[in-house]
Amino acid sequence: MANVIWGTTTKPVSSQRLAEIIQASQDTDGTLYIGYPVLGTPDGAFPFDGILLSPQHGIIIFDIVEGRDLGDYEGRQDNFFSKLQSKLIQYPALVQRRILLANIVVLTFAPVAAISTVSSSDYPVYSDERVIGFISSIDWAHPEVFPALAAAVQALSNIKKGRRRRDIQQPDSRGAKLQRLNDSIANLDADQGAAVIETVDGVQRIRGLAGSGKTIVLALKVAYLHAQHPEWRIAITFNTRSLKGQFERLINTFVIEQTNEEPDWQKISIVHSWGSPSSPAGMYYIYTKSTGITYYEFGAAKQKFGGGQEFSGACAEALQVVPEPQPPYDVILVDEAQDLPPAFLQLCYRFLKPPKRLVYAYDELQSLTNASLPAPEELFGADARGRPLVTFAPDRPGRPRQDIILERCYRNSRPILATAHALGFGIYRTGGLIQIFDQAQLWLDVGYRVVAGQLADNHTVSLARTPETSPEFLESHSPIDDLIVFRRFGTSEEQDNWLVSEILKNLREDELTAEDIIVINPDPLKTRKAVAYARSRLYTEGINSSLAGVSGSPDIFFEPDVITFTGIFRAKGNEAAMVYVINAHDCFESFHPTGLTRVRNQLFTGMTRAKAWVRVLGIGHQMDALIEEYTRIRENNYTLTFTYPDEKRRQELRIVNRDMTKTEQDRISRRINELSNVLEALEHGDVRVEDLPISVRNRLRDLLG
Amino acid sequence: MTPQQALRDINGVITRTIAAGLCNQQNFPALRNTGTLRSEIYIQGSPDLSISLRDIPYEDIYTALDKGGAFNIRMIDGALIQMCYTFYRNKITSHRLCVFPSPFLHIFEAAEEEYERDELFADIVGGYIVRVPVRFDFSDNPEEHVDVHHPKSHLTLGQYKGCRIPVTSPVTPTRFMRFVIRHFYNPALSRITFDNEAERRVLPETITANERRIAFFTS
Repeated sequence: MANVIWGTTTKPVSSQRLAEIIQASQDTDGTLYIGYPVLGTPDGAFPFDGILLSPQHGIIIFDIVEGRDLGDYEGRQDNFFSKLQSKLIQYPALVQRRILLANIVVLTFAPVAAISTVSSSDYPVYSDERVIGFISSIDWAHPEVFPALAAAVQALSNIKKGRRRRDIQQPDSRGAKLQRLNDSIANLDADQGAAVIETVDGVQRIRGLAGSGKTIVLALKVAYLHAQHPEWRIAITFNTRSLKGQFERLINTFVIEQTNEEPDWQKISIVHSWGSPSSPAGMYYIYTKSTGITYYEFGAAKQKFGGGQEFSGACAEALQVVPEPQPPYDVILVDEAQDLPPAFLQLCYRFLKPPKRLVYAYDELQSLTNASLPAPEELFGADARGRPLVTFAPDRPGRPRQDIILERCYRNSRPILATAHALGFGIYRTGGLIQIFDQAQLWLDVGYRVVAGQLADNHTVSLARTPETSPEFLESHSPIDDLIVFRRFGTSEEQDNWLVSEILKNLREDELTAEDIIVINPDPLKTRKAVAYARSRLYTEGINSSLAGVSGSPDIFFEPDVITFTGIFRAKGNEAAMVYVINAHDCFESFHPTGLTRVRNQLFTGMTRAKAWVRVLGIGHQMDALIEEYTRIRENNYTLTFTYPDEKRRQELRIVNRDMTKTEQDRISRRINELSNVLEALEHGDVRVEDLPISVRNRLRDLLG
Repeated sequence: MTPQQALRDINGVITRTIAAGLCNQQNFPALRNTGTLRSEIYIQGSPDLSISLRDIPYEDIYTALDKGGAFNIRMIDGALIQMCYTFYRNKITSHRLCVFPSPFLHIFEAAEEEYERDELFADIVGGYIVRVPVRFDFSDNPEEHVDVHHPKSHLTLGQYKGCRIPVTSPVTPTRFMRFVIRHFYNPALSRITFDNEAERRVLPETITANERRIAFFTS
């Protein structure tokens, strides 16, 4: 059964008919793309009406005719063929002894034209189901090059280029394994393809696990939209500054693939969400300038709106301004929407021309507390009459999808991802679950499957990832006990010394390069101090390292020949082959229950940066306890087995672990201290229980239940 | 001070600054021969340092130095530190010790907490910022020396060409760094310690009697 992905087309009715016929055929596999690809040619961008990428038959190009007049269909077929052939013949993987191994067949599909007299075998024309018979009869001698063919068509062949080729001497070193991992051919899966190509005349949501390829998908989307609509003003915005460099590089590559020219940077803006007069402009900054309202820099925003509310306060105030600004953009894409306040998304919504094409993408389960973002009805608010500004209609065939989920994770292997989730939620924690979300369906959305039990309240369930949702090649390169290592040390000096010796081994024996390694400290407040010793030791060994921070180029995360040390926030959105998470003992428990959510979340984020290997290091008995919890995960073979809490218990968990601002936390700390003092007094006998008035004793009893 | 001593001194200074958590990124110093009995300590990668002398806006100078890796240390608040020396017969013939503060970020003093906690948005700064680069230059070339107007060892504040405050002698890397930390990173002074011997080492004086009559610095 084929799936269909809807791009921009000027021939909707005929395309719809073609899609119906293709989908109705049980024996026809592959993907039918409408309005895709767009190829770069010497004459510029060249969009195709439609193609079928078939693992059995190769590539079938459709010349689609909307009306009755066939016109010069032979000329068009010639043109399509030669354009695609000249493109594909440039890829060495598709050519053998100067002959193209990819099978290209062209036909004209014209459901309402009069064709009875014209069809010939050189220039086939079809108007109905008989096209299936023709497709089935196509013979392809080299179906083994299908992945390379798909990669070439999807413009993904070149994204790995530009990175230095490694100098590999031993076939089984980590460097060699990594090279093989990187070389595995990248193809878009069906969900990713849809996310790239389908664009709605309205709001679209793309969500998936961290590592599901969102950044690449968004960059491809920008390139596709720019190629199809060169007059559109497109903006892409995000939270983590280091994404800017990534997006620039990717969008540049993809646009050149599709149009043979550099992007028109007047039409594409890659901007950070906030922005300032001195740094490259940001969306919020541009908004304030266009409306003439007050711009708040970080310090001023903190003063006015309070710590933790700086950006949302600033955006909320900007939204109050009337009249609304003249919207400059045709499309705005927002990455990392889970880290941006709803007020910012509303601001972007305002900044769009009708029909308000806003694409927002985010990591599902990033916060681990709930679906990361509220539903669009809530997110975008309501109009004056209380009707939601944005709602999602159910999917309809032939229409682009508004809500797309990417369930495959391409960065983390199954064991690493399942471990990170298990620790994040506290699935095997002695004290019980830390957090869980209401919509059990979310587990399935992000690629877990029920392997035993039932996914329902108060029922035991076993969830696991499958080879479909977690590709095996991500884990098959190394034994599991090398993929994940947990290690405990007596002192921080021991930990740091081990870290340094391992890094030296990675660089000197394992054939890894400095950019393959990240060291993450989960607690952002202590990072600077925590990494200082290890970094100074590395310096004396002649190894350069940097501490990711605001003083560096904020748009760049990796520098050549430099090992990156970072706190958890700046690590987001980045990945590396070898990840060391140090001081993980800080993530085991927290004095406050609310802190527990946060630290487990930090551990989750840290571990999921790893493309290949992760080492979790820590000190003391907290680390022992963390290792114990990990051992249980391992013994369960990375399957998550637990009893799904009912609504009441979920409420409790939510209250106990709710997000708090620092001021609230401090206030609660003080009160708890006061209460502890009272308890001590009672226990020591300074105050006797009998001294407490009956009313007080009763109130206490009622409260404690 | 021999070239090897100076190199050890610089490496020691960098190591200690990293260990104190004040250095975000660094480039190794390197020693090479430049002629018979002549050598120099430069920044690895041989970045172009001359841009700082050009007549272009300071933001552009800073950005070019930053991107070009023209620094030994990038401090916690973005300031760039350069330490370069030349030698003849194992004695210092010239040096160039510079601090280039970042024109885009708050100075360490003003935003210490934000830097320490690695506040993600500490670089969202709106105010008009004024920064002063600081340079200790030394040259023992008699043709360059003009009594009082161009002392052999002098301190330049800002990009003023005429600013040459006399300094008693060439400055060692440790004493330079000590100066920088004490005056520009004062809140972190107690956090960093330097090698005692290196700190005490003072080079032979080059200041003249006339130069002592105007305001001068003891190195």
